[in-house]
Amino acid sequence: MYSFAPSSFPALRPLGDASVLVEFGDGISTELNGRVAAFERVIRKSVIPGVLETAPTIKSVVIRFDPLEISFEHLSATLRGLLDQHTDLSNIEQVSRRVWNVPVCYDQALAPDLAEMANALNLDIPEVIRLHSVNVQQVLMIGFAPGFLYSGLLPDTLHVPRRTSITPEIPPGAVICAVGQTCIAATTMPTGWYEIGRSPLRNFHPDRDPAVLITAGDTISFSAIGKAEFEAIEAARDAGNWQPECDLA
Amino acid sequence: MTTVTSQPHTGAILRVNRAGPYSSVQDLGRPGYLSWGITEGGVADRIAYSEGLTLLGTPSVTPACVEIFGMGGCYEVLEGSIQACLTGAPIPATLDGQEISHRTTFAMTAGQVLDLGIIRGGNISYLMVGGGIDVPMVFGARSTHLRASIGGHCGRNLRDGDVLHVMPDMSRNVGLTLPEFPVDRRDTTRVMLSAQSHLFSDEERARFFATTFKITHELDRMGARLSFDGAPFLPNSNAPIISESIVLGDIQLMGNGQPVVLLADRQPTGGYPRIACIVRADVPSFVQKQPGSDVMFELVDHTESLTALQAQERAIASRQKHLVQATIDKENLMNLNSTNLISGAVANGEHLPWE
Repeated sequence: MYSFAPSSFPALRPLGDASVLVEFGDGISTELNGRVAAFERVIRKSVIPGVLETAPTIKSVVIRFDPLEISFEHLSATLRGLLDQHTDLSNIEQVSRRVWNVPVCYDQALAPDLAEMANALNLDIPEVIRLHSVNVQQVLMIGFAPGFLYSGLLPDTLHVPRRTSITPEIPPGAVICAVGQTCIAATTMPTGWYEIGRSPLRNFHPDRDPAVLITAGDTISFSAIGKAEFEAIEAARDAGNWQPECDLA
Repeated sequence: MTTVTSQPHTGAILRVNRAGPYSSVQDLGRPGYLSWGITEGGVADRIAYSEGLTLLGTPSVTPACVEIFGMGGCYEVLEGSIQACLTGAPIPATLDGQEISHRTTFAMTAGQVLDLGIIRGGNISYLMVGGGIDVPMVFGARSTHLRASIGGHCGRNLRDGDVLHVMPDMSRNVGLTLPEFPVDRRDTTRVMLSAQSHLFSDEERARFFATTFKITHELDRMGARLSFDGAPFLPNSNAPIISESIVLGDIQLMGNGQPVVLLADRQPTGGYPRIACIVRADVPSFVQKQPGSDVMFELVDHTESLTALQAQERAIASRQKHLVQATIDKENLMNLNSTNLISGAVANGEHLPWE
């Protein structure tokens, strides 16, 4: 009935009867993820009747549609047409030129798993902080929970698998690390990743416009801050006087 | 023709004297925010919701209602009068001690208490009120989204003592009733393939479609865990899966090989493999399957799923024709009179065998 594992990319893959994935590859890379973000923008600009919403993920674009408005066959043909028109998605105007400065406090009081991660990497804690905080990362997707951002990719020296146990609750602002990626929680949630710091960033705030500041395709630049500075920024943020700095590349 | 209506008035007020454990304000949800990590959410059983709209005579608007999971609760009208009905799974209900029929409109006036019992023959019931529950629009919808803590009443499930405002509503059409939805009594729940179906061997997929699962008590707006006898369902390789979009009805296999069906308030992405996805037409009947019920999945294609969905939409659209006017007893009429709800015209009057 279907061909299963795609032999070539980009591949169209149905998810049930009302969604389709356009998959650009089977791995994680910032180049592949950049094409995902670019193609998601192409679909949004095309305004296809019957398409309810689209979202970029790490390696694919998901398209939710109303099967009563557009058939899977018709939508697939339209998507194939768009892919044919945009064979070189890297030529598309860069999806986002935004570079956000994201302060991270790696103080041990806010980094319960930093020692465990340093141990897993065979590095000492200051070295892990130094190696992590110098990174400029691409936002790969917003997923799992509102405003929850995935970024990557970290240098190989910082690659660790997920932990074997689950932390039942991490707070908004928690900076977590595993599988070459860094995520920043925007809401309280469980995780199986290493919690290595805390950012004053609240990437989801329903009363703010926009409610989500940093989106897929943006760039984030970490900067290490001390606990006193972290607390000062948190106080300023709560008073409505702080937002992460954003430059245009 | 005898019809019943009220003068326009400011909205009524309803107090939750006792909340059921999982009751929340819902409407059709908020598509458009997936790229912010917010799933569309909305009512778990859209057929039951649409029946409420038909009964209330507002098929083209999407008022917010109270979605009740498992156990009802107690609601008191503090001010004004409300036209209401109960849809979805049958739920025992009394208004000031008088039994209320399911899928039938009734009036509630200040001081009256609606007592809702334990849901039977399903999981989810809807308390729908004319005009809808008046909560702020958040990102284009009034639905409670628990994962984002937005929408509905304070972004959360209802609690004892919550006060809900009801939008002003002109229509009063008490005693209208709908027969049970013509349920397609299928033995199987239809599915299509999903994002990681190809990671399972042909044998493993065949075994999945030949397995009888049971709905467990772990069932809420986010998902439903299934149990079964047999070996866990595992993908060909245990290489980590890159987090990928999750859609309504996706059947995800957890690390232990146990399936969880992801529902309205699911997370938008996840890294567990999904072997199949329930088609839209069969989501409403699936969410009403009670813990302990059997479920078997049947693989269909786009043509078959579309045919099923189109037939279902036609059935929903034609429900208006099946509205009938139940006999109103004298006491109800007294209530109506006492709250000045008489005279005027009603939208659904054409089909009333009641002159």
